[in-house]
Amino acid sequence: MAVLKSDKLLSFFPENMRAEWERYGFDFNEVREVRLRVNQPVRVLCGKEIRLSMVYGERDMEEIFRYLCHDSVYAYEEERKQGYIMADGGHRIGITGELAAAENGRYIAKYIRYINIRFAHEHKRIAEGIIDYIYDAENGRPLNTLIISPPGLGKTTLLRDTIRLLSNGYKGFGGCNVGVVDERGEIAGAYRGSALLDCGERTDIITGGDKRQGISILVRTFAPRVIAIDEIGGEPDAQAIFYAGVSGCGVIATAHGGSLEDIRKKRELGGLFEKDIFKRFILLSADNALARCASIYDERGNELCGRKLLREYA
Amino acid sequence: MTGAFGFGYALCQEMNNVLFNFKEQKRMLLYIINEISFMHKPMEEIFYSFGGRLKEPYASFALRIAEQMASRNGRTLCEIWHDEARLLQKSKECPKAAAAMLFRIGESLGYDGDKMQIDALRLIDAELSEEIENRTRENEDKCKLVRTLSVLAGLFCVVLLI
Repeated sequence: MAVLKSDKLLSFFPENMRAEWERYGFDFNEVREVRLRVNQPVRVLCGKEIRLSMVYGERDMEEIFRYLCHDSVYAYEEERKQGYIMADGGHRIGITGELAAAENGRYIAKYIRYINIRFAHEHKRIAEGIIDYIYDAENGRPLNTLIISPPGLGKTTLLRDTIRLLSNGYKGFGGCNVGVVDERGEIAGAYRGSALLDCGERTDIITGGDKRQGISILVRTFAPRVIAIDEIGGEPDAQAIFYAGVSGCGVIATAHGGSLEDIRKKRELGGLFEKDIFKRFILLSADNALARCASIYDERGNELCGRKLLREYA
Repeated sequence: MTGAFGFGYALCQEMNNVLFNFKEQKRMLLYIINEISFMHKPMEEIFYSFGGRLKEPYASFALRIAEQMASRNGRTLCEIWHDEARLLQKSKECPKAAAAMLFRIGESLGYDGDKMQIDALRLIDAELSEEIENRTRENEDKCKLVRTLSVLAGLFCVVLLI
């Protein structure tokens, strides 16, 4: 039996809440985010923001959370401490509310009152427009690249497609082994360790753990030519990237920021600039119609390519 | 005489069937507790992994629950468990006393913390152990009595007919 597009969306909600969602009949492929806030109308982001009539109370939020955890909340404790859980298909579900102190100075959401379901959608071939700029044809290897953008502009999507192209090969470039450290399972849409989104045929993916540990495992045992990491930010991340760089692996990473300067100013990542680790910077931005564009810079900040529309090539 | 002996044998079988069900339920609990303790696996995966190792009807019971959970049909584990336990009870594969225990196990699932979940299951496990011990002792005595009585009843009928 064919699965209706809206069925996928329904699978995030318990049975007693499905009728209302069914009534709206959303096309799952169009939905980017569902925001649930306690005692506030539900909002769905699909190109534009849509306000729904449903309002979920405290008990409803707990019920949804429990259902999202497959009635096994204990199995998601670590993710809960990090403020999100992963769903089948690589969809990330942000959770928060009242926090309570947990061990090692960490916090855990005691009362779940806000849930943000971010759907992972695969956009293949969007990296084809940038791949020529990040590949060193002379040495036959990719250049260390940092993808920079504010949240929600598709850093991870671009990274995933870049990984796929590097892994499978593209035009004259032969494919190579790519190691992915996917802490949150977002790059590969990993669910219980298996990649559900296409990251290429020569890609090994480590889900969970931390970046340093992941890079160490990849370098020692999987001989990657390139290591891909999502959302670097702290000092340990910078150290992990430096370790990968000095181990002879290429690095492709993403970071939150609105400009190159934003990243340079980050104390934790500043060292990477001083050591000239990254040779290419891809800055993502969006126009008024929310179309995503990429600008590419070299290590000195010279623009190699002006705003280029990122699109899925037919 | 054969009829009387057969009746006694059937009665003993029924008593042993309850005991068998309790023992399988205990094995099921041990699997669940261990998988939570060491692997922190979610329930759906736990049911898949131990489903094949249990004897029927519990193997199918666990697999059916896992499949329903995997289908994300909107029903909670508690609801799925309850319905499957009711089906088992109706099919007569699970005697009344064992079915009651099965419902209780279902009610003790769904705790937030792993320690809380394990403690809740251990409580049921302790009850099951006690139940198994008592029934094993009682069954031996009762089976002996039932068999003797059925043979005597058979002999009495034979004498009466002669």
